[in-house]
Amino acid sequence: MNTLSSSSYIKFLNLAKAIRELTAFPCLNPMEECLLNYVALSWQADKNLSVSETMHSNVAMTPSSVHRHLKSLRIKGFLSLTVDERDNRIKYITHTPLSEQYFSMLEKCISQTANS
Amino acid sequence: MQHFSTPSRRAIKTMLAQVLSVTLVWVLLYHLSLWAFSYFEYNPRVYWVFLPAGIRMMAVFIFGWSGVVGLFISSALTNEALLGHYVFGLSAISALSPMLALLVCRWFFALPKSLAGLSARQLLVFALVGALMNAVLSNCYFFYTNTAEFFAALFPMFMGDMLGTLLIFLLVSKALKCLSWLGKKQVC
Repeated sequence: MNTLSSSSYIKFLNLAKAIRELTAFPCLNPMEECLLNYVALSWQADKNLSVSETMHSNVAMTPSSVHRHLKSLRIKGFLSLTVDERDNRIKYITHTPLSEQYFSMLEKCISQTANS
Repeated sequence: MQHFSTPSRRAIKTMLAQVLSVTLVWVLLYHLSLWAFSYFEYNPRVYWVFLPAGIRMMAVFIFGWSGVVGLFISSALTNEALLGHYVFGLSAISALSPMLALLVCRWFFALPKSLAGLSARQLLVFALVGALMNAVLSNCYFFYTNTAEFFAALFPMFMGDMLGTLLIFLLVSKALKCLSWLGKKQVC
């Protein structure tokens, strides 16, 4: 095996992987996906969902896991937190342009599948 | 009679192929960039969008020093200046600045030679550092050779390299997606 060309190929593979990540959506694990879908239902119903409500809701996760995944979703840009006007301790989960883009992309995929 | 061992002849052929491919791609992209972005010319040497800058980073990433040689040759070929030493200096800067950026960033991020673990964010930092190094060194050379005022073209050159690199990354990303889509279609 030509080590010179194979090492170039390995470098190319690593570079291609990094370039792909530039334009890809941040990866969501199944728990984050489940949580995002849950909060999306509240956004759809124009309901203000707070962090503590979400933590104690029935999403098949412990409150600490919910908090951890909410933090991860916030870091990835899928949701943001807004502080309540009357009580600074209450934080509401609000959608972001990225989450809107994510759901419209899913809608497009469903439409394409339905039409094909 | 001593025979050359097959692996080193193969290695030389591989290196020549790498140099040639970098040269060809640079020349093609140079002319494409001139055709597509001539409106964005700052001066005859500097453009606000310069596509070949993306090839600088990719050439040294993938081919290392063979990429540097290819970049030197292609920069010299596409340089419109007539003075030999001027062309030599600019081509050397164009070829060596991405390698310098790669060495600095690899040391800073503690990446191995194979670039395993390279993330999208690190790739953008590479592009930024490469564009900055080329712009700073080129402008120092322009000033040293009395061809321009001190750092007059620094910002447009930096922006040209940065935008060119990002455009190339975007094109490569789309090409990779198309290839994987075609591959999946074939399997189905």
